[in-house]
Amino acid sequence: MAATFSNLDAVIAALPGQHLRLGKNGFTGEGNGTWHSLWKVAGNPSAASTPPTGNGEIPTKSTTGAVPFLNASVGNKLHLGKASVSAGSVGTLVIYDRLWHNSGFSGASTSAQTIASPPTLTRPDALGAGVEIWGEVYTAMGATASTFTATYTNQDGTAGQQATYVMPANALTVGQIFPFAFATGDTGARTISQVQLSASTGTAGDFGLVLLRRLAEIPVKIAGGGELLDAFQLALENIDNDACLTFMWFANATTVNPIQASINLVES
Amino acid sequence: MAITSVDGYAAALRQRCRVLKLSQALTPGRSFSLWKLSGNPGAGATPPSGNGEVPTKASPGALVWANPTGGAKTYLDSMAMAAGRGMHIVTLYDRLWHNSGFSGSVTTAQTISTPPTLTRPDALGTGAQLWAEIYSQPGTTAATFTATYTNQSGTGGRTATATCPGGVVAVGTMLPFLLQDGDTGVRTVNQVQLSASTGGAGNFGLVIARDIQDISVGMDGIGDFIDFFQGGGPQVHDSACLALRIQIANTGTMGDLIGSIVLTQG
Repeated sequence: MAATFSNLDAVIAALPGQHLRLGKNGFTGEGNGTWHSLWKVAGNPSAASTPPTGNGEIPTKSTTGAVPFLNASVGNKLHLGKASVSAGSVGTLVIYDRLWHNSGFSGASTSAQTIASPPTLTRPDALGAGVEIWGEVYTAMGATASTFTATYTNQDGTAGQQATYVMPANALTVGQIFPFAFATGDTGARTISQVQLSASTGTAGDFGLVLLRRLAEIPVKIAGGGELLDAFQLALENIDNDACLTFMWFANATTVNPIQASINLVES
Repeated sequence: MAITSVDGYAAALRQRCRVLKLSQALTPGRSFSLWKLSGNPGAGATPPSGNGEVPTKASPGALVWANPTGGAKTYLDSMAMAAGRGMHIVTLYDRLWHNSGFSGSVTTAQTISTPPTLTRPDALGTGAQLWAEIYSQPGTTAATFTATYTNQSGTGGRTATATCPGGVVAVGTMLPFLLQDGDTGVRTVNQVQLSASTGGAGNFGLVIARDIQDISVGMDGIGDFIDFFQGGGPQVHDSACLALRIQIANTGTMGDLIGSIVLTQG
């Protein structure tokens, strides 16, 4: 549960806080109704690298591609105090903490592709509450439909749960990020042990998995326009120390024009 | 205790319920339940047949959240949603009671012998609505569903009607019942009876629900949000089984639905 300020005066006193800026170049995505990761899109912050293969890593605010910021002082917490977005295209910007990621899975293999020793999550703990499983495309795969099944340990520590993504008969675009559907009753993931495809997509390519926690969704309703959410509209969402803050774009069209964003972090 | 000041609101505890529901085919103009749709939270189960149950926040498929402590109350703080296709109205509601197991081909009264008492916030059913939810496709012949219920004042034998249209009625479709004139709530439902066989048994159930908030979602990937003051800070009762319903305006698919629902407690 998000920590609070004692009253409105305290919120006002904490503003404006740290001012973080984002500027990402335009890109070509998969099309309307799909998501595109801004992790490897050029701009500010600079494009990130493809994550390590195998066990992956726990990215942090120091990882290239993350938005840099200063941690809260000892005993304090950081919160979203303001977020504004403007973009040359309509869509929705999603701000999230990238908690774990890897790469190196093949889109042509139907064997179980394992993660032998997945690192333990760290933010804010190892429990995985509110953590979702997404896949990200680093090199294009094929266009044959396939169901991706990720085996994971859920928010209660129950292992062997299965989450699925149904890939349509259409090659995913490089940079596309896609959500997995949890098993019945699940709402979070602690670790992933493997992924397996029901059919080869036709091309190996390279995709990885991401464990992330969404922090805010900010719509841009007019191309060239913007949106601004204040501290309360953002629910003063907690930002954990060392969070790997990054973004994805929920697209309205294949061509996405440059995106600018400004985020203020306030400290309680 | 309650939130009665701006300072109280600023100091309130907040929790975020993340929503991600994967695409399904829809029929423009109709309402659809996201209860059994896969995603986050994971899909809910078909309710029990017969007397059904009073679902809670612990029921698979419900949004996960924690009750307040120390006498505090819970309110809807904000709601943000975006859908991959089309324009929709997304409704957050408390699923107060539900069942399943009714047949779309039976025209005699299908009874609920001992319906459980509502619990949120009490047994009165004030402001509660009645819906039918399709769990397995019935036939394609139109029929009127007539439910016999006890209203918000405790008067039994009231009748409400819902129209099951002809043609394909997709799984997940929710059909609203029009309560009897003057009624504003539902305490219990005793039976449902069809005016005609739809031509196929299928499986449908009833849902007693209390709406909390609506949000309009724009075209293809363009979301919207409502904050505490815009939404009027509606109360969310302890252990509420928070679920979503969607009404689609203009196209045959929802695309993926993503968003957050933030609750504040004070």
